[in-house]
Amino acid sequence: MKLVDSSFVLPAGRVLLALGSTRLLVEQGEVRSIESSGSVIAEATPENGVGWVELYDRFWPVYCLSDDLLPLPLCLPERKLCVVLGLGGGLFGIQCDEARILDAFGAEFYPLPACMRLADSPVLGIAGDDDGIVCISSAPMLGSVLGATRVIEQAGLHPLATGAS
Amino acid sequence: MAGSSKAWVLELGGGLMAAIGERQLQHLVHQPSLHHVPRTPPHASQVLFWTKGVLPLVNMTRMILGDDNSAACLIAGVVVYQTSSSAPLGYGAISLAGPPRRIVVSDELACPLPVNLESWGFLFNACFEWDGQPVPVLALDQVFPANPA
Repeated sequence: MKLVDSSFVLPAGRVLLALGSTRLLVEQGEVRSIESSGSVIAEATPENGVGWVELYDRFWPVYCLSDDLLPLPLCLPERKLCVVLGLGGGLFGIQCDEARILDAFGAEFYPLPACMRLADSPVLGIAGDDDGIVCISSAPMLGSVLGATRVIEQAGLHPLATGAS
Repeated sequence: MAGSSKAWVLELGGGLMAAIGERQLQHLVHQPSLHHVPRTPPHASQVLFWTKGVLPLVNMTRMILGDDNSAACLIAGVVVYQTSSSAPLGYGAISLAGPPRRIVVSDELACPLPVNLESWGFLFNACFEWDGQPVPVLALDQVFPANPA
C-alpha cells in the first residue's frame, strides 16, 4: 500500500537558520552572503522589514522574523547574523541567531500536510531531529510572503537603495 | 442486526463528540510528544512523530468551537482514511479529551446534525443518536484533505 505524504530526500548542501525556537532549512545555493547584523541600516525601513544591507553597491531589504515566522518591526538584539538570500536578480536579508552549513541532514523530510497549510506560510515541509522540528523553506517562499520581491523591484525608487541618502 | 456497524465514539473536548468507523482508528498515543509548526492554523499547529512519519494533529474543538483553552491533548487518536477506494491511505491524528468508546450503531439511530454544527456539515458524513445525544460521523478525508499532487 502507498502512503499519502511520503517522505522525500533533499539534495545535499543546506543551511540551517536559527530564528529563536524556530529552525529553517534553505538550500545552500540560495545563501549569497552572511553579514553581521551590525551592518544593517535601520533607516527608512522597507515594508515588513527592519532595515537595509549594502552589498554589491546596492541596498537590499532585511527582515527579522518571530518564532512564528511573522515579520517583526524591529531588530532583535540576539539576532547577530544577517543571512543574505538570492531572489531572482536581487537579494534580501534574514536576521538569525545562528546559521549552520550542513553537508547532510540525516532526518527524512515530509511535505507540510494540507490541513496545516496557510497561503502566507513559507514552510514547505518538516522534519524532526533530536532538537525537535526543522522547517524546510526556500528563498522564493520567504521572499514572497515577506514582500521582498516587491521591495526589490521597487528598490530603485528608494533613497537608500539608490544611494541618494 | 440489519444495517448495523461498529464505530468509535471520540470525546473531542468542550462537550463535543464525534464518531469514526471501527477500522479508522489505528492507534492511541497517551500524552503524545507534540511539536509546534510555525505559521499554521490554530486548530492544526502541531505534529507528532509516528511509525508512518509525521502526522498532523487536528484539534476539532478549536476548529469548530474556536476554544483556545482546548490546547492540551491528553490522547492523540491516530486515524486512517482514503479519499477514494483507489486513493493511497492517509494518516492523521485527532486530539482527544478521553479514551474512545466502541459502540454498535444501527440505521434506526440516524438523526439530523445538531443546529450548531450545520455550518460545519462538510466535516461530517452522517449523524446518529447515542446515549441521548447526537453524534456526528467525521468525514476524515475532509478533516485531512489530500496534499496537491
